Amino acid sequence: MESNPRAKAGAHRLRPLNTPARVQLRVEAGGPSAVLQRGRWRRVDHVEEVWRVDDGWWRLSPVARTYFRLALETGHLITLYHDDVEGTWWAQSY
Amino acid sequence: MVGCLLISSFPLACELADHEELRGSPCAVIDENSRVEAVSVAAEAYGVHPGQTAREAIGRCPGLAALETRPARYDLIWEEIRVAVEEVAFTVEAASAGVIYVAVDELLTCYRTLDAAIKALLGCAPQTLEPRVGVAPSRFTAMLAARQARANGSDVVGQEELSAFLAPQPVQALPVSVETLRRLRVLGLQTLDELRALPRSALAAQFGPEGDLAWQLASGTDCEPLRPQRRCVQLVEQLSLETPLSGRQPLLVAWEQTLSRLLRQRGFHGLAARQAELRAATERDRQWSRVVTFKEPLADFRQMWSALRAALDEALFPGPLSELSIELRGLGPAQGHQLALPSARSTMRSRLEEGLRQLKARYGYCPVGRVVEVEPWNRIPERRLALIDFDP
Repeated sequence: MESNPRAKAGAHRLRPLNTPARVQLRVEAGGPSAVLQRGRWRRVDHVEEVWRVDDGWWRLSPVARTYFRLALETGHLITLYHDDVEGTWWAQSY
Repeated sequence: MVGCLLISSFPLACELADHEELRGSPCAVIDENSRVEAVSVAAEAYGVHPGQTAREAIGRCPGLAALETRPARYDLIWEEIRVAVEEVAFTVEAASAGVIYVAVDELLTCYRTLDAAIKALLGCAPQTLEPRVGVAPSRFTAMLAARQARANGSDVVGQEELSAFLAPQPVQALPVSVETLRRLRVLGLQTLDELRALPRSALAAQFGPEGDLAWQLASGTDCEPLRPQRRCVQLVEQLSLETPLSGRQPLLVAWEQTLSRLLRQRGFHGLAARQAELRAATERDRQWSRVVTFKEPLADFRQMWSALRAALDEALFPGPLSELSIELRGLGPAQGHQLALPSARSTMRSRLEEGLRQLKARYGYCPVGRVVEVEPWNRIPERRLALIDFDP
């Protein structure tokens, strides 16, 4: 993930797009129940889809994620994932 | 006095530095043609020697640890050592990988004592490579002294003890052709003492210039001066990849961007390059390199990219790459070429580039990027597209 796009001096690099952003949410029964958006908690109406992405398990930093496409009470659809390695939650369009 | 910094069996020393657990056990470095490149002392005891096929070596020593050669990594380590020695000494001659000569007398003006100078030389190489330093009146003797020194230690041979030091040395240590060594062996000459007892003219008559050289080396009278390498102007540009890339297309984009940045460096203005070295490293630090020599000195991006791309299309990388770099060598003044009349498209492009240059001058960096498809098929979203600097 890109920590600071302009910090690197000397060597330049490819900057990945669509990098995930940290998100705060409440979890109930193993799944997200509410998401904090612009300072307000939005209740999750239902989970549209769940899928897993496991990649690079042969590398030094493997990727193991569980993605959730959620329908919020406001009608908006958002995509989040749970980082199964670090145990953190992130928002990322898929 | 000449100093010799020696790292015996350099490829093997580099591998043992990375595989400490193999130290003391029979192991060998196998080259790309499946032949033994370097062997450990324990493997030599089983009859394994350089030049053997890997199959034969393993047949002689079933417990042999065969290590795949990594020439690009050895070059990188050697380059670091050479640069470190050049910072310590003034007159430096890198003879081959693992052997470097310096003029020790010059060092004494800075380091006061010989011990301090030797310590500085030993400090130029990592201790895990087990460097040795030999100091003697001539290059050949300095190398023999270095061979006799213990690991991370030194041996000094003064002018008065030179003759006694050389006398028991084997003739096989002489830097002459294999054929000459074979004939010396057939003649029953075992030591340098026996060799130098012969008339110089007789050796020259029998072996030609090599015979004369062998007599001088055996007598300690060779006084060939050190030849420092000519400093070459080089330009390097590096690209760090956030996530290792393995796809051909994204890698080509990355190489192209690196070359573009390199040619825009201030130091390249008005110059042309004769040669480029492409280097890459995987996330597990496996190195890859390829040298591309241009048919004529090139300064134009498109011509240079065309030549490099041909090499990259054939390249087999050792894994997903996380670091790329291009180094231009043989820089000289660029020659003029007749240009074509500008087209409307190129005029628009030059205006765009001029605008971007102004933005860069104003903000200190170019705030405009170019979106490139890196791995559009990847299941991880942030690896599909990337922003690359649009550097005018």
